[in-house]
Amino acid sequence: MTWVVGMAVFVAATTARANPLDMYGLGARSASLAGAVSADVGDTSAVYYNPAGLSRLRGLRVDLGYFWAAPRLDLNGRDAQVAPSHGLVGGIATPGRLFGLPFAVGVAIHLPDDRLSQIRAIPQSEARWELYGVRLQRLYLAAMLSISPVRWLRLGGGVAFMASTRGRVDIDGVISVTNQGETSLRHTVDVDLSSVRYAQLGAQVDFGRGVTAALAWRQQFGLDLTIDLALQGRIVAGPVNDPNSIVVPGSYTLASRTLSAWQPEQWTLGGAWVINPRWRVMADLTWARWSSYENPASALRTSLDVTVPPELSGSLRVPALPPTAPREAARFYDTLVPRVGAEFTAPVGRHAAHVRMGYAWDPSPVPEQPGLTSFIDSDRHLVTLGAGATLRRLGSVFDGALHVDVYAAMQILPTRDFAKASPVDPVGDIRAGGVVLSGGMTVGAQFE
Amino acid sequence: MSAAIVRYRTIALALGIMGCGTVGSTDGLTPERPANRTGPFREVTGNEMGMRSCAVVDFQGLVDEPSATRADDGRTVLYLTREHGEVRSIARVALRAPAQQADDPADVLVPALDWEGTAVRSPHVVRDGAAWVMVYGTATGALGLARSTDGLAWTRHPTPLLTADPAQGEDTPLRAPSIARTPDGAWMLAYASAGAIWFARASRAEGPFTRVDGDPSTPRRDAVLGATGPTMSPDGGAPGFESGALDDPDLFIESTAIGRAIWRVYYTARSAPVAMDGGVAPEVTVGMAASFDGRTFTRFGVPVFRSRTDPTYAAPSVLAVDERRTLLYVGARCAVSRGRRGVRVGIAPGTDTVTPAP
Repeated sequence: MTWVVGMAVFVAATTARANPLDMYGLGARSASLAGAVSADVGDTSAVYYNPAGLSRLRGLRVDLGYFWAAPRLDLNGRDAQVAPSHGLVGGIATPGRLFGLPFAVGVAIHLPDDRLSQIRAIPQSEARWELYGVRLQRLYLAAMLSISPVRWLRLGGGVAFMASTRGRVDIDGVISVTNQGETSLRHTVDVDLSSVRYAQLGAQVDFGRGVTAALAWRQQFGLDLTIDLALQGRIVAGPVNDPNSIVVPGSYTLASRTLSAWQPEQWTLGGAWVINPRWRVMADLTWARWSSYENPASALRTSLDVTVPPELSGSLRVPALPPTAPREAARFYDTLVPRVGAEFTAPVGRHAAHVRMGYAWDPSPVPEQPGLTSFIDSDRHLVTLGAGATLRRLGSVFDGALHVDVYAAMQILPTRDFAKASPVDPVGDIRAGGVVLSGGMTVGAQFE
Repeated sequence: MSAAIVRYRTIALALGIMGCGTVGSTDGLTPERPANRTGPFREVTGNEMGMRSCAVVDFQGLVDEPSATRADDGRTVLYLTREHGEVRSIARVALRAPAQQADDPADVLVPALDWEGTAVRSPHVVRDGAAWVMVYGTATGALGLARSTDGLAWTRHPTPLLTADPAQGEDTPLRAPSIARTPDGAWMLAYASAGAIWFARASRAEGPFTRVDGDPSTPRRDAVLGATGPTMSPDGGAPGFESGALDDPDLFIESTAIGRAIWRVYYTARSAPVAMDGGVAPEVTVGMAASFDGRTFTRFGVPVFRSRTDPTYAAPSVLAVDERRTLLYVGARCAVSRGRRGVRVGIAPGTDTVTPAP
C-alpha cells in the first residue's frame, strides 16, 4: 500500500500554471511599450496582442529575437529561488488579398531554451509565488489571421495551442503472500495527450487624424493533468489454485485531476494616437477574469474495496484510507490593468531611430491568505525602456526595412504582508516582495 | 509471471509538452520556504549528535528540566535541575556543537532560603539586556527569582514571586515557571499547577505579579491552558495526548515575519490514565499552543514532539536563534550513561542544522 499512498501524495501535490507572454510580453518593441499596443501593433507580436494588427503589414515580415527575465522575489527576506525565464521569440506573417480585401496570416512562437514546459509539485500549503516560476516555463505557439474589410477597420482572430495530459494505469492479477513465484500482475499504461486550443479575437478601428482604437479578447483556458489508477486483484495465502487457500479479493481506485496551466479570460480596450511623425502614444486597459481561477492542487478521489473472508473477519482489519486534504477555493480577484506607452522617432537619413518607454500597473489578483493556502503575489509596477532602429534599403539583396529593437524592463513588486488567521499555522505570516528584471532583443525583416 | 502492455500515444507531443517534471517536498516544509517552525520537531540522529544520544548527562546525579539560552559568546548554555540524593539544585552547563556538553554540569544555585525547602529546580533563564534573569521552582511550591550579570553568580530575590493559592484554582504547589517579556514591556510568568498552565503578569520581573484569568467569562479564575480531558479523544478510542495533565510550560514570545507578536507555549502533555484492561497506558509528549494576544491560545492539535520508543519525553525548552528552533528536552536511554536520563535534542522543520552555532 506504501506505493499507492506515495503516488497519492505525489498527485495531490502537483501544480503549475499558464504562459510567459502574459507576464513579460512578446517582441522587443511591444514589450518596451509595456504591452500597450493593442491599437498600435504592426509586427508579428500582433499574434499575441491583437491579431487585427497583422493587416497593417504590406509585405512578408519575419521577426526573431531572444528574451530573458530574472526574478528576484523574496519570501520572508529570503530569495524564493524563482526560476528565470528565457528563450527564443519569433514570428512570421505574410499579407495577401482575399476576395480583393487585404488579408494576413501570422504565426508566433515563444520557445524556452532550457525546457519546453515544466510541472512542479508543490503542496497547496507551501508558500510560493503563484504567478511566477513554473507558470512561465511554457511553450507558446499561436496562429492568427486578419482581414481588413474596409480601409478603416481591421479584424483578426485565431487560436493558440497547448496540450493536456490524460493518463490511466490499470493493474490486475494475483498476489501470493506465501509463494512469490505465483504472483502474477498485468499492467496497462495509457497516456493520452490531446491539444487544447484557445481563441483570440481582435479589432482595430482608424478614426483619422492618427487615432486608432482597438478591442482584443483572449479566451480563458486551463490545462488538465488527469491520472487515474485502478488496482484490482486477489491476495492469496497458500497455493494460488488451491481452493483451500485464503483469498482476499479487493480493489483500489484513485482519480486525480490537476490544473497544470491556466490563463484568465482577458478583454483589452486600447487606443493609439500618432501625434506627428516623431511622436506616438498609446494606452491599453485590460480586464482579466482571475475570479475563475481555481486552486491548482489536485482534486483527488480514492476508494478501497476489500472483501474479508468470514474466517478472517476477526483478525483482519481493512485500513482506513488517509483523508485527502481539502482544497481551499482560490478566490482570486478580477483585475483591471492600465498600460501606457510612448514612442519617439527621429529620422536619420532614410533610416530612423526610436526611443520607447512604457508603464503598467498590474494589481495582484491574489487575495489575503489566512488559511490553508499560501499563494503569494503582489501588485506589479512595470517600467519599460527601449530603443530601436529602422534601416531601409540596405542594398540590392534586401530592399525592405530591417528593424532592430532592444528593451529592458523592471517589474517592481512592493512588499506585501500575508497574515495567517491561526497562530499555529505551519507556514505562518509571510512578507513578500521583490523585483523582476527582463530584457530582450528582436530583429525583424520587413520585405516590400 | 507478469506481463505489461504499454501504449503511448503521441509520444513526440509528450516529450514536447511535458518537458521535465520535478517532484517537490510532500511535507509542506521545503527548506528555504517560510515555515512557522512550530513543529512537529524531529529527533536528531546519532550521526548528527556525534554518535551520542544525549546532549547532556550527569554521571554524578540526574539532570532534568533544561532551560536553554544563549551566552554572550554565542554558545548555548543550559540551566537544569540536578538531583543528588534528597537535594535538588540548579546547575549550568555549556554546549558546543553538535549538541555536546562542553563541561560537566556545575551548580549555580542551591537551596538556601527557608521558603525554598530542600530543592531549587526547574529553572527558566532569559536575557534582560545584559542581565540574566532566572525563575525557578522550589520544594515548597513557591516560585523564586534570581538575577546575574554573567550567568554564573546569581543573586536571589529574597521573597517568593508567587505561592500556590487554592482560591485561584492552584490546588497543587506551583512548579516549572517560565518568564518572558511581553511586547508592551511587561513580564509574563507561566507556571504549572493542578495539571494546567497558568499565567501571572507584572511590570517588573521581581513582581508583584497579578494572576491572569484564562477565561474572564466565567466567575472563577481559569487556567490559560488545561488538559483536554478524556472526552476530547480524537478517535473515540484512546485518550488524547493532552487529556491528562499539562506541565513544564516554556513561554516564548517573538515576532512573526510581518512584525506581529506571537506567543508560544511548549509544555509536557500527559494523556489521561485509563484502565489497563485493553486500554492505553498514559503517554508523555510535548505539546504546543500559540496566541497572537497572549490570552486566547490555539492548540497545535497533535504533539509537536513524541517518540514511539520512549514515552517519557518531557520538560521542553525551545531555543530560538535566527530562524533555527532547537528543542531541548529530557528523555531516558542515554546510551553513554547506561540508560540514565539526560537532555536530548530535537529540531524544528525547516531548521537545517542540529543545534545553534557555537
